[in-house]
Amino acid sequence: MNKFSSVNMIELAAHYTVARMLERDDFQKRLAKNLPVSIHELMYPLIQGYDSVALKSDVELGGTDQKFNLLVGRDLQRAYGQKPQVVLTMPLLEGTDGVQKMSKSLGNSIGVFDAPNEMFGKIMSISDDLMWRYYELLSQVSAQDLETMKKQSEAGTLNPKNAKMNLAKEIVALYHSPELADTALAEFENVFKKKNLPEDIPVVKGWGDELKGICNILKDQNMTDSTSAARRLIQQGSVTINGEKVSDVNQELPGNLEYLIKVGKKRFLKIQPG
Amino acid sequence: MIPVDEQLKTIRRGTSEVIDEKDLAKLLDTGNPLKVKAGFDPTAPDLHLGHTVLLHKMRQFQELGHEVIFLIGDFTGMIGDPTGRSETRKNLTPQEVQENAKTYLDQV
Repeated sequence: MNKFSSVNMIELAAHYTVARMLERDDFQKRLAKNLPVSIHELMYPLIQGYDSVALKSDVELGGTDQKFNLLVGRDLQRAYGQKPQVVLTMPLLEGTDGVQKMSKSLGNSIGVFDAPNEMFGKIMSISDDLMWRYYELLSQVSAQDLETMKKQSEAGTLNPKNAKMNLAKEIVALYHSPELADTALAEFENVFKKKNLPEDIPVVKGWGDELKGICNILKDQNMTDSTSAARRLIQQGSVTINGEKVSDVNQELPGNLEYLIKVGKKRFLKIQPG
Repeated sequence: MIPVDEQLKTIRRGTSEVIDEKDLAKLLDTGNPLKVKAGFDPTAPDLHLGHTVLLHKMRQFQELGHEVIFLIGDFTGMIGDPTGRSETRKNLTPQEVQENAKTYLDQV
């Protein structure tokens, strides 16, 4: 463009009329309010359009707000004896609020360089409707798979929350890495689980620094009727400590740490160092 | 080359408007790779997912075997797109434009 001479510039400007340029909405509004429209602003669509002439482009993409500029490219290509480009407009993506277009200044944006957990959490915060839109515009999932997912979700066989997690994972993996996406997912689930804890979990004091077997702990704290019941529940995978499944029935724990023990779906107990 | 109707399906996904589809079909029918252009203004250095909608579409064109051209306008960047603006933008200096363009490219 720097080699573009003033002669070229005048030639280019001769291919478009002021009346057509002023047809655009934003200029109309300003003129109606007696606000200035500078000559160089009229040059913008011309220069963008001239890029299409110089490149002999077949297709130009832009946001819906770019339609006018893109069409100027078509007109100019015709004026320069070329085949006019096909113009393809893409919608302006709504921000996380689902209402206004994504914009940093509106606080509804998801930055490409947001940290993985932040990016993941922001995507999980969007509505289900917006999720499908993000899928369509931002995901590599095929149109066919997307259709299947929508149907499953309507039929109740796919939890939209899981679909959202997959979307969040895909996007975090794209801008960070698949590993960081997995970590972000685990972190999100962890926080989510914590949020879903009942509020009235009983709290008891621990048993000092001596070690105690998990089955005895469960029985002594009345979380199970007996040590053999405790053993059975552990073998079924129904006992977790701090969110992690207990796999060893002989596991021993010191009583001077903090634990959150869960048996089955509903029995919780918090142990505080003692 | 992937069949034209399949290409059209992919290209059409998520679009607001195609002007016009018949011309596009004809171009695809030639079997030649298309030159697909998208311009980006280097006036906004913070890239968010909204900006990536176009990038995804570019990638789809690329995967269909077309040539994509990612333009960062320096002259247009200096003027600032008047689209949707209710006042004239402050002109950026060529240095400012180049710095923004650099951040932009890093992010892409």
